[in-house]
Amino acid sequence: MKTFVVLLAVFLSVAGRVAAQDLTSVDLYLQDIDGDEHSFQDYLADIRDGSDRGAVFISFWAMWCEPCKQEMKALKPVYAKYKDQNFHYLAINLDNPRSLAKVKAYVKAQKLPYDFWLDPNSEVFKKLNGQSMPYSLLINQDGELVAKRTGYIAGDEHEIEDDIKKILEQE
Amino acid sequence: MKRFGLLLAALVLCGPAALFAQVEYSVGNFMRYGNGEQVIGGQLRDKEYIENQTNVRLFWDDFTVGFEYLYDDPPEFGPRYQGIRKRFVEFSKKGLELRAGDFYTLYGKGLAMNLFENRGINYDTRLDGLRGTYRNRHVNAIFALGTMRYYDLLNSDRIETYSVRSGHVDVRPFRFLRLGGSIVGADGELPTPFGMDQVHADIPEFMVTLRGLGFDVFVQRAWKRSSIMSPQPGGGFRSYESDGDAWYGSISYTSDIGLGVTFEYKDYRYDVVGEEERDPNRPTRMLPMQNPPIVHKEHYFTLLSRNPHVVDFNDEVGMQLDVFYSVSPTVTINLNGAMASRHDGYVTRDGFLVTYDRDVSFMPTLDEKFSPFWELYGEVEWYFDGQSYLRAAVNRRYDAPYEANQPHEQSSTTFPVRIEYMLNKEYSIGATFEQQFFHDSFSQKNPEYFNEFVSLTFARAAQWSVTLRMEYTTDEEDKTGKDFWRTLEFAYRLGNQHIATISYGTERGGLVCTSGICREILPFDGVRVSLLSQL
Repeated sequence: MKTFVVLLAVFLSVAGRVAAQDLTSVDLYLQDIDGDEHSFQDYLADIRDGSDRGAVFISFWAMWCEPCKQEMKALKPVYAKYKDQNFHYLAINLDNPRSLAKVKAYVKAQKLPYDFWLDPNSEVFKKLNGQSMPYSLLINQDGELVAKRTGYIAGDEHEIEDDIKKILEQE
Repeated sequence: MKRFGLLLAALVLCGPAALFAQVEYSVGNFMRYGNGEQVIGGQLRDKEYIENQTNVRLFWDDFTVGFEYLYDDPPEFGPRYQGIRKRFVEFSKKGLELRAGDFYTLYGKGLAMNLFENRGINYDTRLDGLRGTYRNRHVNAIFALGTMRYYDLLNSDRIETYSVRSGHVDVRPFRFLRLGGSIVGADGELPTPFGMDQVHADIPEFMVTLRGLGFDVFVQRAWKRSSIMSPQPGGGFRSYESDGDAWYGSISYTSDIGLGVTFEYKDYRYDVVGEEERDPNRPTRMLPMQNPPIVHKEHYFTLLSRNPHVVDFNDEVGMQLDVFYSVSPTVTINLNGAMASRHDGYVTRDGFLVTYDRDVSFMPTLDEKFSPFWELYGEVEWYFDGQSYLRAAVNRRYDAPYEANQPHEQSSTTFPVRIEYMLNKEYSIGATFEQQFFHDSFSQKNPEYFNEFVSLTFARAAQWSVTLRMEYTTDEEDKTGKDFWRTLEFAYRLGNQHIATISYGTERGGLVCTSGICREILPFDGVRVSLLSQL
């Protein structure tokens, strides 16, 4: 308990001087569903190359998580609407080897148009402090965090769209 | 542990103030409280638990520092705990990662190494030690060293300890080919009634991935050699060796017409022993750092996720075919078939156990003597009226494990339906109806019984949801002693950062999805409160 109090005190003492979690310097290394290796910072750099304004919706999901799959379906029209404005959807799958083999078959059959990376032992999910699924982070092209969400209720896509618009339309 | 706290404090407090401008943080907190009654060991007892799990991450240039503080006293499940449970420091730059502290890792599909945590059942196989990773487009190399404390799932006072050394390399010389290999060495101490079994195990493996023309082919092969020193009842030790091996393979095909097909095969022989030696804690079994694919469907409907087939990773052969097909942009079909069995068969004749073997043991069989399992599943999902959808499925399952010196036969037919309808842009209603006809040969009173699960939800997007869950069974031997369960749950979001949930009622347990989150719950009668925060 003492150690925790010390750590909490340390954390609170610097809390005024630290920034809420951005992904400006954090790098993540994952394979996509085709087996290609990716660096998250390289991914952001490519987005910055395309335009001076961009947004990335990072969503952690799994095959057994119904709300996750519902969220991916619900955001299809939003993605279609904003993809030409440099909006990207990065879906990071958390299925462990139990059901990992079916992930590609599922996303191809569903014709989901997003970027799919795999995090089969939840390493990146835990590093970014995810606790429950679906867990999503909305960032701008520099990696600055705009919104963080846990859970999905039908209709949430409207609020997510508002946040995306804020990034893409800001001066 | 104190040393780590002081080190972190010194690092943060003594650093120049300018550095803090570059520090980014993330805090997650999950508090759960429950007060009521629970069936423990077949008896209804008062149950109160409080658990608070705080996870902090600090990101500073190429460094990440993380720790988890756990207050779990009294716990809902597992041992009492108050203190820092996990902590790590990680350096990461240009594909190189070095981590000291707690970590999980995975090689291939987990035949030799697959470390993970499932809080719901107090399963945790993390290593405390050192891990290094280097990866680029052509090479992926990992080493991991550390110690593991593995709590027995059925008896959390029984703890196995392991010292693990491991390495993995895979190379991708061409885009269509990836070749890899791993080696895991472990020294373990396993409690027995007479002392500690000393285990030394070596687990080498190789794997191949081929991709092209719409196909993904993966094959993995592992071997395990164990050397055991086992204390004997009369004093002294018995020394012996045991060999095992495993195959896993998958082929998937995808096409632009909306078709995805996956075939998986398993042949796990880590420790094929006779029925009389099938002790779950035997030192020659598959070790906790291993966790290969189960090769049958993981279900999300409540009644289907209950009583799943329990894979015997030491002695099981099986396969699975899974098909997704989008008939139209709004209609998707999922078909799944799986079967498995043991390599050797057992029957009891005149009070004696008789063992059968067979010539074609690399294929599963439906012969009753070989503990067969099979399952067929079909599902249709139809998205209508924008985001509203209907999902209907049918499942038939048969499982005949050989238990307690006799075959135990369980079979079920299940009809689950889920519908969600958007009333307008904000409000939605959802309903799940699941009917299950169950047969259990071990049930003395009524081997044929019926289960029904109903869930009704009314939700306002981004704000709140109310869910009523009800369940009914005609099983007269349910371990909770009940035949009807009902729970009312209210969840409220405070901004995007907090979700508060309160529920009251009786719960049969199992996988529950509510307010957009899925989790395993234990049987419980009473009130539960939880607060999930992400800062």
